[in-house]
Amino acid sequence: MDKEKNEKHLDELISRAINTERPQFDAGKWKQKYPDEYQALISRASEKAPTHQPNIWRITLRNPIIRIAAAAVIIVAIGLIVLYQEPSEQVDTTTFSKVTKSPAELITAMSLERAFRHGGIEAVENQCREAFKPTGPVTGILSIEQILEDFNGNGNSTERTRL
Amino acid sequence: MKTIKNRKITKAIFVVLTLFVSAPSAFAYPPDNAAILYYKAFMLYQADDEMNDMLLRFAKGKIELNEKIREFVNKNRQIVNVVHDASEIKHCDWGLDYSQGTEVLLPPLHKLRQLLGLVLADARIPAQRDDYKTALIRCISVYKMAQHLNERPVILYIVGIAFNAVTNDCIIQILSDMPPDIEMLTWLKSQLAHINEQRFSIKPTLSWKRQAGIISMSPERISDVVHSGIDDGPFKEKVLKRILAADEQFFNRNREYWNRYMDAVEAAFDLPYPQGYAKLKKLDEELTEEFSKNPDSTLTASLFTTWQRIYNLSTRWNTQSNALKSAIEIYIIKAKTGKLPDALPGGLPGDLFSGKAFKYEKNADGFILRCQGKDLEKDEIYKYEFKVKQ
Repeated sequence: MDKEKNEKHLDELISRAINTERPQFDAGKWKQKYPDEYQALISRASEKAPTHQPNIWRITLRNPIIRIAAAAVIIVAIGLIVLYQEPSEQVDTTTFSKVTKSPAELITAMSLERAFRHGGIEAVENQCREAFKPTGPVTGILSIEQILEDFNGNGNSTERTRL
Repeated sequence: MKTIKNRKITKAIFVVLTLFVSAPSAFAYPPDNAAILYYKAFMLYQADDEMNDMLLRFAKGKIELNEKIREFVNKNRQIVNVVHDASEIKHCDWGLDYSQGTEVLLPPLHKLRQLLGLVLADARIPAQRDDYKTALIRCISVYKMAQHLNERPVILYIVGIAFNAVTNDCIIQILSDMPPDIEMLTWLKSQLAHINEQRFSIKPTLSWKRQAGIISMSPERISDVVHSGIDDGPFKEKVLKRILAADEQFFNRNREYWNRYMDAVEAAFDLPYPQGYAKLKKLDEELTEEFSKNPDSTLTASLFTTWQRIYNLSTRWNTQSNALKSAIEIYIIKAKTGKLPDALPGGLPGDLFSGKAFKYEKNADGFILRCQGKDLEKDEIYKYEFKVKQ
């Protein structure tokens, strides 16, 4: 009885450790074949789950209708986040201001005067450098051939129509 | 019949002549606007901070010429040529939209500094092989470049001063390496006099600031000015509160206050250094005090410029330039007589900190021109050392 109870417990341990709902193999055979792994698993499981309590989430999610509903909620939530996410604002790396500014705002006469007040000509240069620093991902650039192809309407045009 | 034919011939000649006359101006190089070439150089030139620093240090005589500098300057020869071509063009329009008031967008100033290092390093290299004339011609080009920066915005004026000051340093180095040569020194003197005729001045900047301030003091623009020109904090909050409660009268009274303030600033720039410095300092203090109790001073305080600091920079650069001009006269005497004068000749431009002549001292290496007045901001008395090659 004890042996049976141990093996059942082992099934649960493996389930918890490798994160599968229903173990599909014979724990007794596995224990004989891999004694070292068995010991390691015992110690890991005892650290993580000293007491065994029924998992309310697991029980709830066993119901297929609830699973489908949960999946639908997650998909809709992700969709809404993607749809309504505003473009992220650039972080202003100038040392004297935490206000977010566009590159054009950084090179106005007034803004550069402020930089000068704070750090002299060095700060002015740094702010200009920041404004003219390339930002964002580089998009794919069309080759001349691709541009001409679009211009001509298709790729099968003759030399004469291209000209 | 003959008359009709003659008319046709006349028309044809007229068309051909028109095309002939207009063709050179349409396709000529260099263009008639220097800024086009400067923008071209900005796009082409790439240098890291280490190299920029090395080039400027070499130009100022802080380090010796090395292979890395020589190779880098040669690699960028075409860019140097573009900048020199630009400096020779009389007209320079940076394409700045002054209707935007203080929100006018300025050119990439960090690129200007990088180019300064390159062209001045290029100027000093010929001096290393005793080709002083080429070296000095290239320095004169940088003065002309600085003249192109004497546009209206305050920051461009400051960058222009920096250009002139570093070029002065470079020429001082070249003069120290060069055996006194009357012809060369006389040529340099006349070149500097010519540059001075198109005087690099604070006047356009003061006038621009007044006008730009008036443009910016409108309900449509003022929030942009506050956003870009003032740091976050209690002062900004107070300004925004007053602007939110403002009516047309508020703007009118603020513009009047601004005009009175700018009158006082312009008058201070015309005063001798100690009085001008004290006056600008007082104006700053008064404005700070007024802001807390007088709403009419709100926008003037928002558009605040560090005039005292700019006045100091301007005086310092002009004094250095006067020292250089005086030194050239001393070098000419040395070239003529074979020895340095025992006293400073009369009629030379003096130290603007004191309004007096420089103190002249001979030493083992050459001579020193020492200011008699103190830089009140830095609490320092400047001296300029000139070596004489025997």
